[in-house]
Amino acid sequence: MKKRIISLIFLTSILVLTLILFSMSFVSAESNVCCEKLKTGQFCQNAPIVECDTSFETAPTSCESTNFCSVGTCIDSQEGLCEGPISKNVCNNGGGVWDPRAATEVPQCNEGCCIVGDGAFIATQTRCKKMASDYGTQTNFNPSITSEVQCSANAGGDIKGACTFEKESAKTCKLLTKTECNSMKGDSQNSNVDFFEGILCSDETLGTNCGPTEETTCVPGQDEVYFVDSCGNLANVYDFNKIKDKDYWSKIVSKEDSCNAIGNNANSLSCGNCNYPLSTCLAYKRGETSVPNVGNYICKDLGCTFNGVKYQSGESWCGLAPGTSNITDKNNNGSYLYNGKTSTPNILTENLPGSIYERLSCYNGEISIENCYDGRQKVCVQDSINGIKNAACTQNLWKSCYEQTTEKDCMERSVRKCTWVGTDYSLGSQKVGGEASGACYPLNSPGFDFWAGEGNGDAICSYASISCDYEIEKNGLAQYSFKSGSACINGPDPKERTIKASWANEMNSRCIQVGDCGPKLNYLGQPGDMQVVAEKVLSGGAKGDILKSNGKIIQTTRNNVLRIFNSWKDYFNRG
Amino acid sequence: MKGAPSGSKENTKGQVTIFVILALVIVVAGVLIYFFYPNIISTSNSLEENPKIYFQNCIEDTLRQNVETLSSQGGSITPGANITYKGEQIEYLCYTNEYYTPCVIQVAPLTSHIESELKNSLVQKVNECFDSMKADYSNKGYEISFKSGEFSVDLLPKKVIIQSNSTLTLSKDSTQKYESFEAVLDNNLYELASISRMIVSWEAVYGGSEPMLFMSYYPKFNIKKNMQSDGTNIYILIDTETGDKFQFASRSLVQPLGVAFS
Repeated sequence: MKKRIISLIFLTSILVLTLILFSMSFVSAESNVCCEKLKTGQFCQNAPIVECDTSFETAPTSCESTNFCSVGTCIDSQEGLCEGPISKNVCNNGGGVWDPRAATEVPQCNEGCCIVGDGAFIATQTRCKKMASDYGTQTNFNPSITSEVQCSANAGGDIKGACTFEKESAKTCKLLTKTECNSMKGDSQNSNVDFFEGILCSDETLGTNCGPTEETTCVPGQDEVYFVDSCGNLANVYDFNKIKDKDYWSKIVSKEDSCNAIGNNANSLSCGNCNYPLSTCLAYKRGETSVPNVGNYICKDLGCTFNGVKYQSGESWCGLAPGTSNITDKNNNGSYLYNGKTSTPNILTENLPGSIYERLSCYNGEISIENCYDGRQKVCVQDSINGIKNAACTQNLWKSCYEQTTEKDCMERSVRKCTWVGTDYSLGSQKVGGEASGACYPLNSPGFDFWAGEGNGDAICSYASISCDYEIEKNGLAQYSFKSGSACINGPDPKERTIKASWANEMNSRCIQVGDCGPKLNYLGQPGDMQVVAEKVLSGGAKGDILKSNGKIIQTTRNNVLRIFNSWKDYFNRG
Repeated sequence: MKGAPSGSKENTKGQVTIFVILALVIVVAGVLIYFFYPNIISTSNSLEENPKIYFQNCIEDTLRQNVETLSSQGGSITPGANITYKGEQIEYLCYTNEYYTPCVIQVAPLTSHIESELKNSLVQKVNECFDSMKADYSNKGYEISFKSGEFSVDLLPKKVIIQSNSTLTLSKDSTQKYESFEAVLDNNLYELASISRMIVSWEAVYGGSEPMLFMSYYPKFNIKKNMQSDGTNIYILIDTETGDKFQFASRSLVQPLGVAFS
């Protein structure tokens, strides 16, 4: 007996183990594992095991929980850069040093203010040394300054001035910093080196061979147009009215104290005090820029013109792509205004299948176009702040609209972007007419990937499906009357027993508003099959009652089934 | 005596003809120099020029070509996981195959990766350049002593540099030793890669980045983002001062068209 029990336990154990192993293998084939690398080459992706590259590791868990794909900071010790979040294998494969901590917790990644030449930026000490070495200058690193603003304030700390010296028995001058000027003293070819802080080389009192000219130039990294003296040194910002002013050619004048400092001076013939991002220094081009009074450089207007409207550099606005709406949100609270007039889009001409919202932006005189998202998952909304136009591709929050059964919830614009339509027919499960107070639709109807089927477009469209159910009774006098469902049928008499055009129209709108469903023109204005059907039904062109059952289209006369078609297209082609 | 004036006239005619021919030769030579000057310079590397200039001239075109190829493909000569955009294979620097998930960075550290890709792509050309250099100087009667060394590729602000520590000694009437060779390409791949790295980090943390934000930090760069139908973003960065370009792909925080039930 004891043997039999032991055998039974043993057999049961084997059975259970086999079942566990079987279920595990079943799960691993169906569900995602962490692939260190996919067959298609991407690292650290959660995917079915069949998609994993077998020469790399896999783990039956999400990548976040694995050792090889856990993310941290990747330190490039050669460049002094810390990148993150980066997975361990990607970092190590690329020759970096991986650290599981965030960059802010890694000592090598501590940043400070690095001053190289005239520029200052936040970087690690190694990075700072590398940059200084690249530029051939000394390292100037201050770990106590970690703010970009404070660091920038330290840039260009050395004030420039006239550095006069004698070379080949001529007294000449260079505009340099004091440090740079002092370093010239070591050169045996130069004698009597002197530095005059804040003074220009063209200052008459210095007695050098440098003097004023009518030439101007642009300086890399700066936006203003500058005068140039006869020795090729920079002077002050170009100001035609001060071209003969000895003082202006004597002392360094700050940008703030130069001509028209608050204006953008774009295309100004007399003032080169350009104001980025509105304008910047550019060489005069025939036919493209105005001709400056002297010199060959001018403040170029960095704005753009689109459809006759002028935009400043940095402004953005919504394009009017075919089949999209012109949406503004003045109060920035989701109370959209369509074409500046209505609170909802025109469902027949806007948010059409295939349409994509686009955002345009002007930068440095060039217009860029950005597609918001396919299927109107994002829509472009524009506004202006203090007269500056601003547009953004914002999330089209439509997914929870269909579930809302009250107007209040439907119109909660901070949560979702929907619109409430007063109707007797609600969406989805509530198909019985005459009971609902309304239905909640997406404000901007979305599109679905019907070609891939991943977005469940058919299921979403079916929320709008509705049938015209009616019951008719005949009395002893051969008179017909409705027992129920009179809303969708013109009359109970067999001759009147056709669908009401007003009901069909309402149901048509319902389809269209749910998403890219039902009879709808596409963004190029072309109708699909369902559009043709709808037109025939609405115009009374249908040959009898048309029913849809089990995916087939059934054409009937009054009581008899005539033919069965696989699609509406077949129905019209054959019928 | 009668013949004298006639002869003098003929002499004058002859002189005029010679001057006309000379003028024509000068004009033709001028035109040829004008049109072919850069080529004349670049093809003269096999003769008496400095071996360092020879090296620069020999490798410059390949370096430029490889930098352009790599820049248009996301930083790799042979892109790994990529998307085809306008006929070009563009590598994903950040990728996710899932919906609503930030991407995983695919290439890091980016600057070192680019340097390494460039170096690998130039090994053969560097060897070819030294081989042809040796052959050319040998044909000119120089005695050659060559010691092959390592070479590196560095991305620096506004330039890409190849540095080789190979040693070449040329002996003829005298002996000259060249201990390092350098080739420089004016290209701002360094900064383009730096900005790309920052955009990729942003994508890995927050999803789609805002080009205008990066452009306001780096005003001399134009950054464009083109979204593809599968949710991939193609980023195109252009240095507006030099025209240098770098492009890469990223797929992050993708949304299904509809509602995907996982």
